Amino acid sequence: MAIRTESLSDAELIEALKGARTADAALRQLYRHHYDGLERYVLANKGSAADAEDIFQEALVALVNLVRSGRFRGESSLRTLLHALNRNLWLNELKRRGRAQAREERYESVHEKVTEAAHFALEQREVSGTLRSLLEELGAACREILLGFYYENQSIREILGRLPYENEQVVRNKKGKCLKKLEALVRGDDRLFQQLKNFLHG
Amino acid sequence: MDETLHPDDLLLTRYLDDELPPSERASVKDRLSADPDFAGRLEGLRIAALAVQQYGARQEVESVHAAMMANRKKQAPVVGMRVRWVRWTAVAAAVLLVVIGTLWYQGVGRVTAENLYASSFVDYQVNASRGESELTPVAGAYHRSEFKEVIAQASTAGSLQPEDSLLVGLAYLKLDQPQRASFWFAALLRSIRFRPDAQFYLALARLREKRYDEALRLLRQINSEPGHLYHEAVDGKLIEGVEQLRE
Repeated sequence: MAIRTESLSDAELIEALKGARTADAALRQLYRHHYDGLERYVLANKGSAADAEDIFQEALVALVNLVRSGRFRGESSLRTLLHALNRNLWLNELKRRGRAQAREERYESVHEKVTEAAHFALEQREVSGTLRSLLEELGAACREILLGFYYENQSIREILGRLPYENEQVVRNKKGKCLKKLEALVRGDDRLFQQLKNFLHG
Repeated sequence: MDETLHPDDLLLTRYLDDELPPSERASVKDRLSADPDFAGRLEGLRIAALAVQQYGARQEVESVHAAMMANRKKQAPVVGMRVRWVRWTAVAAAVLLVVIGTLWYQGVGRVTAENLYASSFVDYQVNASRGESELTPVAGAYHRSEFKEVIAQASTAGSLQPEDSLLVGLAYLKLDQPQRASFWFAALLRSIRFRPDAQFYLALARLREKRYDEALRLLRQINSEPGHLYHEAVDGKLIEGVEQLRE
């Protein structure tokens, strides 16, 4: 009896990753198929299990953002992209710790051309703590509205259904003010502002 | 928070969110081309929206990550046991081979490096219990006994995991190139996980190279450690045979 595989193809994974509501299954498949191999890479290159977890998560965040922004449309396999992101993030971390060996440096200079995707992943990692702090500083009410609208692509009506506002116009006004407040916070951090600007303009 | 939005910010937010009728949208586009400050305001709002999207993506991945890691930790002892089972059956097979090999060369009477090697060799088992698609290209080729392909895959890989390095060494042994095999095994002696395998196969490679002193040193080391993975495969008869060859 033939066993039907439940694995999504790369094209299906990319489509699923684009939507906040459909990404969960895609992310889980990427973990199942790639985590062990990429963990072994970090462990074989002076990393710990905790390092491997951290780096893989970061690579996946970068991959999701690249897919959703249209920067990655399947030009190479997801495996190739994920492995390259993971490898670059780890090599950069080793350099940061001052532990990159000559072998890794030679490898990087001879075999590896750091791609735009890898640059994005590195910049994103640098500012991730700041991004988290600023969104927390924004407050729960603004976070709910902005995540609902700009991340989950919910309509104003759907957001109104979840939150205690009088009508859609009130939600719309609140959304505008929250976005402006967030803009001011982001502008207050040069590194984060520049990282986002670089990503926006490719 | 300031309770009033600048009229331009209100207009640009509606433009950003695609809420303007076509005529108003066209008018905003014209003004964006002509007014850098106005364009700068839109860029700021776009950057803020992008910040939300990137934050949301991070939250989502972190949530899946936590669930997958928790699941993985639950499964780890089972996987570890499976790997140990595979390795111990390989060692049990080695013991059988050693018994048969010993009886064979006792019958023939003449010790040679080749017959000692043949009687002592333990075929390494790649763990393909989760399917060949889960293996690295190097491991997949080894699993299929395509030893030239093992080397070809290794030569194009960006980096090799320790097990892959072991398999490359084994492929060279299978292809009758013990010197190249020795190079790969020697490099793995510092690997915590594969040191026992590296010691054993390096000993066999040195035997093939007729570097008997080095082979003996490794074999005695394995034989002196009762907990060594290949302890059962290296018995007195093998060591005596190599000693005879050295004389």
